[in-house]
Amino acid sequence: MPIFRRDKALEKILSVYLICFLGWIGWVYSCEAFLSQVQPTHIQNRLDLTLNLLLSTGIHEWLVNQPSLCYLLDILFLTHPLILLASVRLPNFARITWVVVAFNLCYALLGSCYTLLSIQLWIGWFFIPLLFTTRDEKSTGLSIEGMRYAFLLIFLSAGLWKIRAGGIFDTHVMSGVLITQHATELALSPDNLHTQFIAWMIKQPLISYTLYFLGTMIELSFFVGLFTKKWDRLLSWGLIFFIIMDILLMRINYAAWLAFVPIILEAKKVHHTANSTPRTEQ
Amino acid sequence: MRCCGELIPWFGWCLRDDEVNIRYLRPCMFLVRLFKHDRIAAIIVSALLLGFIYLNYKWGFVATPLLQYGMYSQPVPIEGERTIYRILDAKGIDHMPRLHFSERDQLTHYLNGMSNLSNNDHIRSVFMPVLSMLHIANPPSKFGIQDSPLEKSGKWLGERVRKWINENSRDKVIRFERSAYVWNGSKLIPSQPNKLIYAYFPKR
Repeated sequence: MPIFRRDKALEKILSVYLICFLGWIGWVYSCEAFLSQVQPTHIQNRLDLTLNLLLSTGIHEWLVNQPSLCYLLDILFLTHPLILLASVRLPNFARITWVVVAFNLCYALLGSCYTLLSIQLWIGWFFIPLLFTTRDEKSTGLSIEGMRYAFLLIFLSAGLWKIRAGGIFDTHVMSGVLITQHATELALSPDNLHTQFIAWMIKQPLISYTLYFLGTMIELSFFVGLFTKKWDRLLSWGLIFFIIMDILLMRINYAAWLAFVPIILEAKKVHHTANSTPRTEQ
Repeated sequence: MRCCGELIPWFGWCLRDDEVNIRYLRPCMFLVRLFKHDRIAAIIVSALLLGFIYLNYKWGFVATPLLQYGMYSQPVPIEGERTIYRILDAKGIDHMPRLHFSERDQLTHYLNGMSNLSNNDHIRSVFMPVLSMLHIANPPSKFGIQDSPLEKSGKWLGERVRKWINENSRDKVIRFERSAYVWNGSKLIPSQPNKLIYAYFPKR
């Protein structure tokens, strides 16, 4: 069993975080979803208490009249990994990280109400930096484990929702979902190769439902992770498969969630710190 | 001791640090270990966990970072109308099919918002009592949860679309229309005539 070393674990997590973040930047830029690209005008509110607390400060009205502030916020968000890296050896590193987390949370809330990117896509950017608020081996190990549990619960809850809301019990659900998700393409570009594939899937409810069922099973399988870390590698592959299928079939880009994969894998080593005797999984 | 711990999760309090690695108790044991290491962190994590469970059970609103991840959880009928948006230039040519995927997604998102302004009243009715209780929703104008007026959003969107479709002339109107389509078994076909949402005149 590999031994958990704080620096190495954080290094791995940060490397994948940076790669995912660079990919995210490219994608957000192509969606014209940075605040400076949007030039905030159109606010779409939702039933989110934290967002409404933020909006009640009037920051969104302020941003509309301050294009330069939008650029500043974008720059701060884009450079936050560099800020984390630069301040890693400073004595007040944890405080700086908390500021980065709070800033990323606010930026994500604003970004999700001004643009088409839903808040669920942003979670990695305000959850993962939390790992860098700790200094010692044990605290970091516990943070990584906690983050792993949080992500397992997020994924598991998505599966439970499909049972509670009844989607899993409707064999035509995926056909309906595909029509809703690709309505514009199906109506206006029916000759496109991808659209033809989607139309074929809609006409094969059994095949499309099988994929929906498989996706739900992947989500529910994260329940196992609450009790053992033995299957973490398999769960990670399940997550990667789920994300790829989401992009190909639904054109929903959850690739930013790949930043959680090294956290799931590193959590496995947490019990085996350099100072402790390695134990076998029970 | 260990045997009892396996049967009754909270008996794990009595376990030593190196014993709290029992497979069946992991979620509880994590909180126990966290509590032993940092009480405040354990209380915060427990509160967040309870909040997450409550919001998912309650089913209605969220409080970031506690979110719901139930996209497409409900049955979606194949029948029923789907809203399709169109952008027509002065000659009546629909530019929507020529747009890039991401541009279409953006347009659909923004036009959905512009078409559902009544959604704000619902949000206001849900959160106003909470924000009033916290004395931060006063005066209501500062509440700021209303979408910008259609005129303002329309102008902003019109300028975006002009860039996407390379419409350089400022004399020409751009019309945003909404139509309903239904699935006929093999493709989506229009079920209702187009309705004008907003006409953008660049010169104004």
